[in-house]
Amino acid sequence: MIERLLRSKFFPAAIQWPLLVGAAIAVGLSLWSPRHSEINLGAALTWQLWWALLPFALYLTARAWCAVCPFTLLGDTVQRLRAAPLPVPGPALRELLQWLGVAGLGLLGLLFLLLSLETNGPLTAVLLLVFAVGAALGGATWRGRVWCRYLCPVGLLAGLYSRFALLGLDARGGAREAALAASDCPLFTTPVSKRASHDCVLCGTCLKAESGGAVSVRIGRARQGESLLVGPEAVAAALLLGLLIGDATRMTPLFTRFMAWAMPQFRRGYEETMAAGVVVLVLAVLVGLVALARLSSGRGSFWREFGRLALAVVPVVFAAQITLSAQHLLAAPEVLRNLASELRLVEPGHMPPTDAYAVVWPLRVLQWTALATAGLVSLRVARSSPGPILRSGGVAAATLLLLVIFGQPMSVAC
Amino acid sequence: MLRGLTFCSFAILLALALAGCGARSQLPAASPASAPEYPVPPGLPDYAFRSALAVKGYSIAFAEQELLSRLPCYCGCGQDSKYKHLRDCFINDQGEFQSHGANCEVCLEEARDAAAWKVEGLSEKEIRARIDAEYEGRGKPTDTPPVD
Repeated sequence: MIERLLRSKFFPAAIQWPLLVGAAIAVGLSLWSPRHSEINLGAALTWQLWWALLPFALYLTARAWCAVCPFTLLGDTVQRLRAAPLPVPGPALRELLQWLGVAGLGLLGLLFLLLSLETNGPLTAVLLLVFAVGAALGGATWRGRVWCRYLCPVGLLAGLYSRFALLGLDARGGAREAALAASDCPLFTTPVSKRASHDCVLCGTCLKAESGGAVSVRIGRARQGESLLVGPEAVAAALLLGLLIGDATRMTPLFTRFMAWAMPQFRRGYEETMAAGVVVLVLAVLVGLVALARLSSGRGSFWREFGRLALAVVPVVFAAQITLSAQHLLAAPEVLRNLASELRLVEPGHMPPTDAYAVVWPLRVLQWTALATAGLVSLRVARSSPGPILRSGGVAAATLLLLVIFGQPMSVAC
Repeated sequence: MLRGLTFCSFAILLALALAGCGARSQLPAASPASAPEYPVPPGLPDYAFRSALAVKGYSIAFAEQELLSRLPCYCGCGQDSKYKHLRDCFINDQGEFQSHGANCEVCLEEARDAAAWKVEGLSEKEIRARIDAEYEGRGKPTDTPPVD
């Protein structure tokens, strides 16, 4: 069914257009103050539904989200409107753009934690509009979906996680057919036979080229990391680990305990104390992984070892994102109730829980299982290249830390 | 066709953005941007440190207990007779902190707005009128006697 969908001539446009309308509605709702409900519906739809479902979609369908992303549609259409052929960014610019993408991911993560983006409607609207303008500007300036491939924080995250996803494309024709099919690729990736899963957005273009015989759909066991992470990707993985540890901690009583201790201790306001805590945590994770890679690399290349270590950490990071998303989805009924209240289908108002933190045992078992399984996958990746001892130690420490955090009661209201 | 649809989508995005901005300016009573700083009360429980707004809300509730006991809460807690006014969401009659307010944006925003309006020089009666205008409809209010 998936293969038929990807080969359909209506894919991805038939999904992109409704999603573009959905994005427009989300922007409108984000800017519109709620009449009855307690939370902003645009922000809730964006963060507590779309963002919470995204990691599951990435695991099942790799970067297919990028193929149906409404902002990609804007970029592609703007590109078609340009009469003159557009250039492809040069190697130096491509690397700079990649680093800018990492900076964007870090900034987005910090904003998410410090400004509580998930409840801030106007900021959510601004962010969605920035993505729309970025995709349109990228499409107007360069060929090859530069925004999606280098600058978009969600694209960067999806590229990292898709290395361990269940869906992918493989070349099945000869090298010539595969190369010809890849020549239609909107992202200008390498020929299909050498396709890297993190670049492929599964838009289906190469599946339809060369009478559909050059490429096939692979469903099932993930390739589990076919290539090392390059510098910017490795830093992005380390940043993600720090940010996710911060986000998970924020949803536990550990966070309120820390704030109750730190605010009087350092005599600072709430925002300052929290910002300092998050930055110190993220930096500690980054510095820890850098130090581990430095020790492990010996006289070899630091970046190569850092890429190996970061690749080994990705499954744990991916699992942490999925388990956090599952926790966020617990708030989905509240979002739907608020939506019904706005539409006057149910009475507004509610009674908040006496204790915001709880252990929902079936979910907790699934979370631990996902983290432990990902930890084992990470260890296997860590041991697949020379000098695995320190790398495995780092992966085991990250997994244990996340298991401890997910051992706490967690917020059920996000 | 494709170009037309794209421009329509851009237009929808822009129109909704502008409509949203307009809607915010038509609120019955403007919410104050920020409340004055209140000292964090001693012995504040950990749950009150969930967010900056929660710390602010409990600090206001501790310092302005008289004012908050004259204001209804519109979060929906009026369905429970235990809650008689906004102060009950933060501090009970025995002077003990309550966790309800920490988990309720409506309670926290009401406390913040009331404190800011007090600093602006509004009387209790005027603050009550503004709270009623701003929050009515959010949920069943507490049965709080009117301010004379």
